[in-house]
Amino acid sequence: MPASSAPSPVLASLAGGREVRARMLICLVTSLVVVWLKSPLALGWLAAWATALALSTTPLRLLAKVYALAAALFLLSLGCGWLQAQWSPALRQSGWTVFLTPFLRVAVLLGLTLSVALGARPTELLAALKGLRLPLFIHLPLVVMIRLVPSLISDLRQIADSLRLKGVRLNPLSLLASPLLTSRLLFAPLVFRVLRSAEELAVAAELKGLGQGARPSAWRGARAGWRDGLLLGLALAVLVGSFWLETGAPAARAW
Amino acid sequence: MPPSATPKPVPRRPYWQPRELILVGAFAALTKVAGVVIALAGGGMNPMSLALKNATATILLVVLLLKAPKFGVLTLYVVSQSIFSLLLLGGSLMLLPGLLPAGILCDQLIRGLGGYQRVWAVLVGVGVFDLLSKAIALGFSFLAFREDPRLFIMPAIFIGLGYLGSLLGLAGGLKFVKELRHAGLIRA
Repeated sequence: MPASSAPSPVLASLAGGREVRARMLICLVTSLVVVWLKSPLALGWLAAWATALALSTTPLRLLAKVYALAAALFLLSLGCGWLQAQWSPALRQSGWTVFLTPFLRVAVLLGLTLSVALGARPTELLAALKGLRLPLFIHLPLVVMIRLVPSLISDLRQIADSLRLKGVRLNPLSLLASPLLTSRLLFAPLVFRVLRSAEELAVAAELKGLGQGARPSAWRGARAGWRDGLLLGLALAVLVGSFWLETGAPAARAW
Repeated sequence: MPPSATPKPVPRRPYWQPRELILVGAFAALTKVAGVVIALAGGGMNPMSLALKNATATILLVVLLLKAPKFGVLTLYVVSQSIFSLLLLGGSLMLLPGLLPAGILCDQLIRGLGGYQRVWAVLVGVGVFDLLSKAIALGFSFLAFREDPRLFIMPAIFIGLGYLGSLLGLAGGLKFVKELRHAGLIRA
């Protein structure tokens, strides 16, 4: 990986790598807070913080691509809004900040999601889930989901390769021209593979005594450390700041 | 065994077996991956890829319910997907209180219509669940766009298109189940 695209080492030391549970909790609380907040100033503050968190775990190039896509969607919504405003004078009066608020809500969640999803290895995620002490009937499907996603992506690549050998192209045009055939060619073999993988996993789980009182073990520990506390404290301060910007700050009245 | 020794109590068999839990996790993962792949292959979320994504999710849910025919599988699938989205994908906690009763209600509906062995009962249950989940998504969209309710028309159109895809998925699910039954993978 080129040096320019690696996450910032300073930020990575604070937020990268280990504090999976703390970041999950932040994701959870913030997903509720962003629905309540309305001011673009408060949401912008949260979006800046979420971007800093995402920078700590996500390569710069990938982050730039994701944010460029989000900005393109924002411009698209601005365009649609402009079209709507041609028929609605009231919408013309409310200005472009009406479109900014929903976009900033998405931007906050995007940054936080990247910081959790790309900031931990599957083993760390599994250890964090184990630390949540969820019952087995919730814990096991979640573990299977995390474990299977990379292998499903690899299966899909193989299926796409085999389709290419048969002369079938997978692109937006083929999907638009023959959506049912394309999705059938892609997903029917995948369902068969998933059923086989699930069968193999189930046999392995039963042989290890799962479902008979045995609990799955984790290779890594899931003990909370000072980094979790520091990150949660920082998150709390940022959230309090966003509430102040929403209600009490002099600048908030201007929006 | 000596006559004085008391026999060991037989451990109670838990309701959920690892086989069912693993199937739920595997199909939930497949639904997530399928959604991303369709969005990428479709060059973004255009109306066609949106409908197709929902159709695929519905087909997979129908197959799951017929492969693991047990009361509560639909609810467990919803809970697993919601927690996964909540913790790792930035999903909102506000959807879960709506989706959980919807899952339980549809599980009850399938049981009331004759159980998970009947394909029609499963199709009706999944159809109603899709309708309820889209209604919940509409409510959430209204919250997100409440600054100007006129903007709400765009998510409403998208969610409507998604439901059309789900209805297509019910028909596709019926066809796919026949193939899986022919292959011996489903007994219903």
